[in-house]
Amino acid sequence: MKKLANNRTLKIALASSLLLFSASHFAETIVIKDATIYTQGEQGVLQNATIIIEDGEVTSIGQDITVPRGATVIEGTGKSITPGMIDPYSYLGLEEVSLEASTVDKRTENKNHGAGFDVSSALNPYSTVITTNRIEGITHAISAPGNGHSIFAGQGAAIHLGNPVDADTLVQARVAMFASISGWALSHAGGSKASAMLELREALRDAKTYADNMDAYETGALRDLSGSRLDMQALQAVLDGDIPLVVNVNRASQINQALKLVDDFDVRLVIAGAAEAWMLADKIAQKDVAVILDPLANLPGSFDSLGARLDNATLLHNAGVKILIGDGDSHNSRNQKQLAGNAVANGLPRSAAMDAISKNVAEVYGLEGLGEISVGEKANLVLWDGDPLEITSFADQVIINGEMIVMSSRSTLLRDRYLSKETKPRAYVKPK
Amino acid sequence: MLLSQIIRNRPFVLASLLTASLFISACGGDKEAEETAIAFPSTYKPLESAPIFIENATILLGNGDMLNGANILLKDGKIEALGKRVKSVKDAIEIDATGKYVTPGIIDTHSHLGVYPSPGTRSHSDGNEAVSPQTADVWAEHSIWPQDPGFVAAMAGGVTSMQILPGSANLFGGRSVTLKNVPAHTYQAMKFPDAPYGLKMACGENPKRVYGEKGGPQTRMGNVAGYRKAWIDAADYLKQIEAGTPPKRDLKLETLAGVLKGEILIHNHCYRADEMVTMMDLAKEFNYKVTSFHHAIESYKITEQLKENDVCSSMWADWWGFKMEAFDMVRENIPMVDAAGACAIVHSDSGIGIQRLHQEAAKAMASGNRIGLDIDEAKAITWITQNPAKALGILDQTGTLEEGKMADVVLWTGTPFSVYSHAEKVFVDGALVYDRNDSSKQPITDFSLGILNHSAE
Repeated sequence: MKKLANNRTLKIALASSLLLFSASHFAETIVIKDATIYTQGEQGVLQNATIIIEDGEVTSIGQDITVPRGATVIEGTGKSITPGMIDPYSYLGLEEVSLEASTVDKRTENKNHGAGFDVSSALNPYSTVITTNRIEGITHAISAPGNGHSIFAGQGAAIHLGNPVDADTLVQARVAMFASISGWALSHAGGSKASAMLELREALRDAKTYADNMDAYETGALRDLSGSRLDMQALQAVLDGDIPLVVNVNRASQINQALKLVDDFDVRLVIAGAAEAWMLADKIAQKDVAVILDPLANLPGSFDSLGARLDNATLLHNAGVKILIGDGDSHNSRNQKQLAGNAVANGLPRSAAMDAISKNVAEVYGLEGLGEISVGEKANLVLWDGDPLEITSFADQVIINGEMIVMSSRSTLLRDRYLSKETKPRAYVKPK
Repeated sequence: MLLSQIIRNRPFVLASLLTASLFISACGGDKEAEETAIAFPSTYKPLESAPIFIENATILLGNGDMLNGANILLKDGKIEALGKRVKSVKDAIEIDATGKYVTPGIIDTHSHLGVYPSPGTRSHSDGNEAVSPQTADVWAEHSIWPQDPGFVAAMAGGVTSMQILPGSANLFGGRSVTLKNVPAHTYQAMKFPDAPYGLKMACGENPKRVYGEKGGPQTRMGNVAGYRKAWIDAADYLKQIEAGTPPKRDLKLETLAGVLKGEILIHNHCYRADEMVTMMDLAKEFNYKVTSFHHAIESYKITEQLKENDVCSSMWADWWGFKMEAFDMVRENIPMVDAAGACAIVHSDSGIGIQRLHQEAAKAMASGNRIGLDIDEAKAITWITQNPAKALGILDQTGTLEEGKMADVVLWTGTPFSVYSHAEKVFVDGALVYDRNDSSKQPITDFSLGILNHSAE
């Protein structure tokens, strides 16, 4: 690919024009001028501001900034910049075609792998689901396991959606433990919510026992534990408070039961699903438990979520709960902004909605340097063609790990093939 | 005149009479018998209402046009008048719509509300009669649970009419029904008067997945063989009736014969371009019409054929990837179909999605504009008003804001193409059925009564 002429002002109208950019140009200085910058960090929201990215790192953000010579300049007038969106609960890189089992690695049928299941070795950085979502503003995600044969799904990984190195997309493995005491996963516990809680608590107790008696365990002198050795090992990070325990649960009374884990085991609890969390908003806030929710989920999927309502996010936020927004549909992780926009339409302050798709996700999963735009960090950001949460806005350019990514995907290439005016058979039309 | 002839002459208007009566009358011509034999008739009655006068609105007409700073008068259930000079009438309820939008009521061609209701329970999972690939004899209306809270949620999204379809497990899934979105405790009281029935057909993966190990079809070629066998039987059945020697009533063939007579509309779940072309060929072989493909992920590949055959595509703005036949999604599918002059519809297939069809249309509009298609709001609203009304055979009655049509109207807080806007007031046949700012005008179904969400408010 051709290298861009220096000091060139780019008018970015079509994604296809961005194909001019090389995938990785660390030697480059990128400047985006005169945009509204939502830093989600200390600098707040800046109007008519300029951001400078040198060698992939944000070196300056502000209103009175001199554009360095030789920089690639992108005009940002009427546009906005936000941190890259981070999907808090996805299967990105783990699932290509949901109903095609051969393409799905997020869950296992192996009965020995519960809490110990670790998705980080199955991630496919070249998934079309990744390219489709990254060009629309998702820069990072938590790739989470699905439940196999245990109420514990296993350990999720943090990934970037940028250009892979050595076919690897991992940011950090084992950033959280995922479990479910709700819905379909209940069948693994015999169908009762009571059994699910028993199993969850027993596993945490057994993990303690394991830690205290590892020698005995290895020699076979310890009683049977409720999980495999891998499971017990994996739960140590949860007991140590190093990683959060993300529990899928919707019914208020069950959320209340889950909250007891905070006191009883000193775990960093995160509630996912959380349809009726608004009923316990104050208590959730008091326990400093974060909540992952879908602001559109206002219909009861089951009798466990009869209290589902559109302002769940607002009520939780107003009580002081840290919220993360996602709906679990990774093929359309890109709609995270639509979810956040609807939360705003139902009363959530804009800044809180934007935190819920970036900063809060990074904080809950311990992803340093992500979720906000600040000087000294790698650039992970999105240039939007308007209000970032507006339904009609799209990403003009996405920067991940300091690199301007190529703004095309299998989907845009298919589009361009069928938009082409060429008369030859479509199979010979090869858009770039 | 025989009822069958009446129906033939007025294919859509009398389609609700289509059922038993059609075939009884064709041989006997006993007028009294015809009238008593209407199966499951609509009992829908519009709510009483004073005239409604909405003033100084941006009005998207649903037919591709728009008016700025215009007024609309709803009277006796109909759109009495609209335009800049239209005046209010005595006793009218007057609404200042400065800064607000008015559109036709939103129409969804693809819903399973009531047949797969919320909350999801096995007891209410009534959308797929997955016992045989050919169940053209079942009618979705007989599965509808009117208490589904999803109906009311859809109302808050401006939806005034919808087609309830059987699921897509079967080659022939059964009859659909078109409803007015009004709260009721029987489906008959929601049934859109005189709307034609639809017949759900399904291409591709679902039938072969469901029946692959249950006697077939196991393949796509098995699917097509199944359709052809059924249409051959239906043609024979119809021939016997027209010859005056009707066989014993067969509910499956009766529905298929209704399609061959042009009285029942085909709604065909079909994702792939190649399969849609197969289905259009099949329709030619047996001389029927496909009214709309549903899901139609690959319509953008065959826009010319869709236009030529006058087949609508009911599409999502961006769903994809949940199965192989949904792999070739492009964000511009809807605008590309539209730009080619074919009939584009945004559908939901979802109790959540139906609440925001305007947002899905907005995404599609913006995607189209990013590739230079120059689609304005007046055009984009047709994807969720006029075009679905056409596909449901009710465009002569609703779907656009024109004098004399049903006053199915939504007042929006701002442009419906913004994530921040809400449907503020929803009118069905000129009566206010939902008001965002007045909880006394926010219906809840029987199920939701006393459920914690509402008692907590």
